[in-house]
Amino acid sequence: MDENNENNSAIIPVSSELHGISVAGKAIGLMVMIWLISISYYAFAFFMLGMLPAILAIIVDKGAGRFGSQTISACNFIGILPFLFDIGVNYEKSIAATEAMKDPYTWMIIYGFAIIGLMLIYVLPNITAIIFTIKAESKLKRLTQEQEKIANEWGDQVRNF
Amino acid sequence: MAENKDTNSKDFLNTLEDPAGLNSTSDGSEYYLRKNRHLRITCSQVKDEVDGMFAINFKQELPQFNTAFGKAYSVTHKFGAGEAAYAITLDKKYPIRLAEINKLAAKTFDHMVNILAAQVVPSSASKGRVFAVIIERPSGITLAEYINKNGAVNPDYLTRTLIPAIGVIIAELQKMGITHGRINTNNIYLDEAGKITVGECISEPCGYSQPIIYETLNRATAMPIGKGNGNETVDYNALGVLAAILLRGKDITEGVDQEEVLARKFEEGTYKIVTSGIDMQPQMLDFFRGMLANRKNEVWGLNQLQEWVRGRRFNLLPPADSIEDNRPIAFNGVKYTSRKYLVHKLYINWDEGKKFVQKDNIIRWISRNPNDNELIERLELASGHYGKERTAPGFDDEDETLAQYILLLDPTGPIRLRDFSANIDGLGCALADAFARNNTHNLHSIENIISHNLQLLTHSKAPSSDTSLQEATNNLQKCIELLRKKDYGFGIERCLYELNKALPCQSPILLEDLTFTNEELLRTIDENESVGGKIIDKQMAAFISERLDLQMRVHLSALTRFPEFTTNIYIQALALLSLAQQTCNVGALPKLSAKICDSLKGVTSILHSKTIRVDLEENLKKTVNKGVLSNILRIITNPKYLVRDRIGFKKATNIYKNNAIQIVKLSNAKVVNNVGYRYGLQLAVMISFFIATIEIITLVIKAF
Repeated sequence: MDENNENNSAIIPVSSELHGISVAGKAIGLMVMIWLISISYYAFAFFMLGMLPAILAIIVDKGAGRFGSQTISACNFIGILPFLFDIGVNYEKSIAATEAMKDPYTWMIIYGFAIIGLMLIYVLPNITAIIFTIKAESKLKRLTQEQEKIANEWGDQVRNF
Repeated sequence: MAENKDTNSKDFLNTLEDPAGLNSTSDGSEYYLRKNRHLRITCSQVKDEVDGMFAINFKQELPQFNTAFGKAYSVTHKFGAGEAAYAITLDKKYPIRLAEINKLAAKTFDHMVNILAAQVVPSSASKGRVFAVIIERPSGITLAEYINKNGAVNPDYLTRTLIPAIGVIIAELQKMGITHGRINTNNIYLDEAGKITVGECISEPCGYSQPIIYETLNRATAMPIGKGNGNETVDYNALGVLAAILLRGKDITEGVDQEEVLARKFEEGTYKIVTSGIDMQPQMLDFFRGMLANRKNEVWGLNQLQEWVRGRRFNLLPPADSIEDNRPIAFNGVKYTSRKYLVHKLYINWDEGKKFVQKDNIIRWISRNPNDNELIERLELASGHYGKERTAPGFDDEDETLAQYILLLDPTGPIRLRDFSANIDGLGCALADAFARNNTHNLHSIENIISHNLQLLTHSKAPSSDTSLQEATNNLQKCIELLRKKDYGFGIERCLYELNKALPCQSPILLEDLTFTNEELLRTIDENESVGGKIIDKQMAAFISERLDLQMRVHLSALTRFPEFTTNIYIQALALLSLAQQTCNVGALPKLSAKICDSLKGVTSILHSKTIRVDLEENLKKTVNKGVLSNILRIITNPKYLVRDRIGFKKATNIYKNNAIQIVKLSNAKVVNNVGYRYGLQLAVMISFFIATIEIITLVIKAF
């Protein structure tokens, strides 16, 4: 999906190039994992199982910027985060983690958000592509008219320079 | 006859002031070309009417008075009085012998047809105007007709009447600086009373139709159109030949090929040809030997002729053969002892001549004469190395070398190139003829003569007393620079007018109108419909420049930074016309202004901007009605428009270029789609990260 990245950036300048999950994101993930290992192996296992869609997306997504894996990871994280908070605030963290893992509703929520992320990366780019095409056509028309106007005013010689 | 030149000039001035003479301007305009009182032209406003007195009957041609460049018509005296006359209308494509016409018109001759009037006249026979000269009609028959009918002329009549009468005419013409050039049996009339009348000499370039037998060698070897104005010996030489023919009762060269006659003149000399076989008195021998002497300084003048008429005996020897060297030189299998004859043969056999001069034969031949060291040096230096960059086609180094050799060996003879031969003062007429006949060979020959400075080789030999020759040489010198310039108003066309002061404008647009001055030219092109949309052409530009005596193109300081404008022919033409209008004080020329404005569309099209162009054209239109060309010039050369146009065009070019790049990119649907897709992905990342952040904040708040 990013094969024409160089050309695209020439048309519409991109403020910054995103190359996968940022250092801060990786640091947060690492801190969460260390924290979970320190409080409960069950909690860590729950986290690893919950974040499975994100891990798969990171492995599969090799495109520049890795926008798809970032989106899926973020949505997956949104789904798992309330359960992590529940485990974190409970005195029996392993029991809380086990309970959460046993509840199918938990997995529905977590994977449901991952699916929402997946939908986002399928729907939004197509919508923006359509918008961009319409805008480009309109700009093309305006530029062509402007070119005609310039040539009409300054003669055909202006085309040769 | 003994009056000196000054007295003669005063007489002429007095005559000019005489209202009864040519001075009459009651019905037309009058002007002097180059402010020269001899180059005076008057114009009639009435169709076919000269000087308000003579009505030309264009339907009644008089072929017996026709000449190569003049058509004769009968004339009716308006007041039914006066002597019989005829009109001769002159060819518009050839220079008019205007000075001669004016001088002759101011004088009355007993034994020559008098010029009664001369004017530029609107003609009913042709479109436009003609230059018509009203000439007294000679009575009697021509001498040619007389001898055909009656045989030889009585020697007594010849000695006592004919020779003195013609001699006086020649002398009077000489005082006025005129060479008749047509002293021959066909142009001299004899009436029943025995009165001799010499015919006119103004209807063709001097000596154009004169048979070779009557001419001196220098004129006989030149093309008829390039003979030049001649000198004092020309007419006396012709008188000698005429007298011999009359004494013999026939012209022995009649019907003989002219080239053969010329060869005999070289081999035997004119004296031998015309006098051999005539049984004559010793008195006549003196006359022929004096008149037909080979050397110019030995030819008789009026004084000797008068003394001879009074009965003095000179006991002259026959004219010496023109042998410069005792030992001959062989060329083309023929041996020559005369340089003039050798030179003529080199000219006739040009290709062989080119090869011949490459050898040292001529130098070795000349070196036998110890007095010719200077000539040898000059011959050794002669080589084709002048003006190569301006050489017209068909003239290489060897051609130039041969031309130089010819001039060095015969410095008083004509300038000769392949198939072209003209005396210095005949180059103007030859050039006019080349233009008239569209003869590119002769045109190129004259260009080569001027650009290679060939006239310089004869210049040093031109006697200071020969003003016509001096003037011609000076004009040619002037032409070198004028020919080199490529601007409008210069080049070979400019040389045409520089060498022919009395030539009307030769532009096809104006030729029929016979315009002699810039004032006339401006008024005529104001009134005339332009031919093929052309207002001015090269001929007209050259004519205007010559009349303005322009030595360089009109400088337009406002356009210094815009060379494409300064060299534009329309701008140059407008500048010339504008300068002519200012110089001549010609009033408003609204029609010409309108035509010029139309023609300037070619110039305004140089401007890129349509708006600026329209603005400029509207400003031009506003000035048209005033008819002042300088106003148009001021507007068209206003740098304001050009600067605006230049800056605007640069900006427009940049914008166009940037737009073009964008258009190329936007036209690629795949690229546009990819960009949109990429933005969609970024947007998805931003939305998901944003929700995650909100969630974290909410959970943190809840927890604490």
